[in-house]
Amino acid sequence: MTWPHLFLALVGLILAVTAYVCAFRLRPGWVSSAGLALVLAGAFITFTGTPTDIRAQPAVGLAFFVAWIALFRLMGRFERPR
Amino acid sequence: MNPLAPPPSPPGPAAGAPRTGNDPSLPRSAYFVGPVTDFLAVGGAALMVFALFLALPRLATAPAVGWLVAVGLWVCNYPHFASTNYRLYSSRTSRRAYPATAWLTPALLLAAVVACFLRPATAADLVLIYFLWSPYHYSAQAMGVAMVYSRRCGLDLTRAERRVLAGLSQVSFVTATAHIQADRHTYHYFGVAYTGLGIPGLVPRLLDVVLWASLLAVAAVIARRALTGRRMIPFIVLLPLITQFLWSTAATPGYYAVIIPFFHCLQYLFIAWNYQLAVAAAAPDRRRSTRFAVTETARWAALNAALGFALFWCLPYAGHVLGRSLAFSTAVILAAVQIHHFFVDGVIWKLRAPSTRQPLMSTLSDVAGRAPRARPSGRALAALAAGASVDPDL
Repeated sequence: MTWPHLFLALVGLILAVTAYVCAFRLRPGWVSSAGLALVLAGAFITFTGTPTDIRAQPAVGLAFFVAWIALFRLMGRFERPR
Repeated sequence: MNPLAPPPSPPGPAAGAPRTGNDPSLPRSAYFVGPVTDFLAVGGAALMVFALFLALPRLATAPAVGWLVAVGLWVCNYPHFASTNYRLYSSRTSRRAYPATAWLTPALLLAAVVACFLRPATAADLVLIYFLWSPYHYSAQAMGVAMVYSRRCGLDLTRAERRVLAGLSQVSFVTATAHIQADRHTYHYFGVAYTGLGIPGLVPRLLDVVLWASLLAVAAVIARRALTGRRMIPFIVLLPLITQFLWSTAATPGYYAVIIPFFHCLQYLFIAWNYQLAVAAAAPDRRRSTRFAVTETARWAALNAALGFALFWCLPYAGHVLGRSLAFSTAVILAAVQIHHFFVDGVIWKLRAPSTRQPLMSTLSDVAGRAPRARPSGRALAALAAGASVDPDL
């Protein structure tokens, strides 16, 4: 099992446990929050899993730069007060 | 109807002028404490120290600055991070209001920390994300504080004007970050070395142009208001944005760069403190008094100092016990704690939520059970002289 798969499994496990714990109170608002959490986790896994030589390319660096800033903005919509 | 009530958009009363209208959502003063205290807390002190360091270069590089910064970490910076956790986790109401943020976010960051400890190379990525998110957070906070004061002043900013102000704040952060990320230089954060993204060098140069265009757009907004006779934007609204612009773009003198986080944290603590006082004062059977304000402030400050100590001293040591070096553990834990802060802050301080907005419309005088010490306006004095009845808020 490679490192990104191990990490993905760990994140998946934590999300599954959290979802189980909250299952009895699950509301529609949780779906968008869980979705954004998965997006953030996925972005981190992609970022850290990208080989160094590929990340060294300026275009790839720019893509990550733009993607992270967009994600920071997106995370502001993570949840509305209930 | 109060004959002294100002029109909805008066041409330009002082920012701290008391509210004389019937709108109960407006505070009695534009300031939480007073013009001087608010000015210093939300950016004025940062500007003054900047000017002082420019004027006295020897002072800007004095070793004492380092000592002051070190003390500031424990009394301001770390408690500022802790106060976010206090606000989110200290009451069942806020935990229930933001359940996903309260429980999912730490779970994600715990996973990231575990990943870093299992595979140390990952730590460089976590630290890099922290350094990308941090200036974004500064920019968002500056805009947030500006909007708090805009509401407190009853300012009628249009959507376009808000976007122009937000644009300047965001572009200044993006430009500064792009300049740093334009090479693949290796930096060090405690025990972790991380490398910049290496974006094309043309990007920051283009962003420089956009930055100046954003600045011109803000100038145009101010000029348009002046030319059309609309109320001018009070300085206290612009102050956080001016400070943020300076931090992002100016060449900082001496050790000024290491003081910037202190002023950012001071700005945050000031708002969070007033929020906390207003929330605590709203509890049933609470008697508002100076004694209550002092006691609640001391309790809140002590708890945040203790929590800051736990987050920034105890947790890194706990990580060190797990087998990694203290420097490595410090880098990873501090990055995770601060990313958690950025994340949570972006969610829980939305002004459109009444539970957030209403406490931010309070004043220290309200909390302490004292009437604000505001001077009557010229119109009010004229009305008094003419024998008219005067609004008691004056």
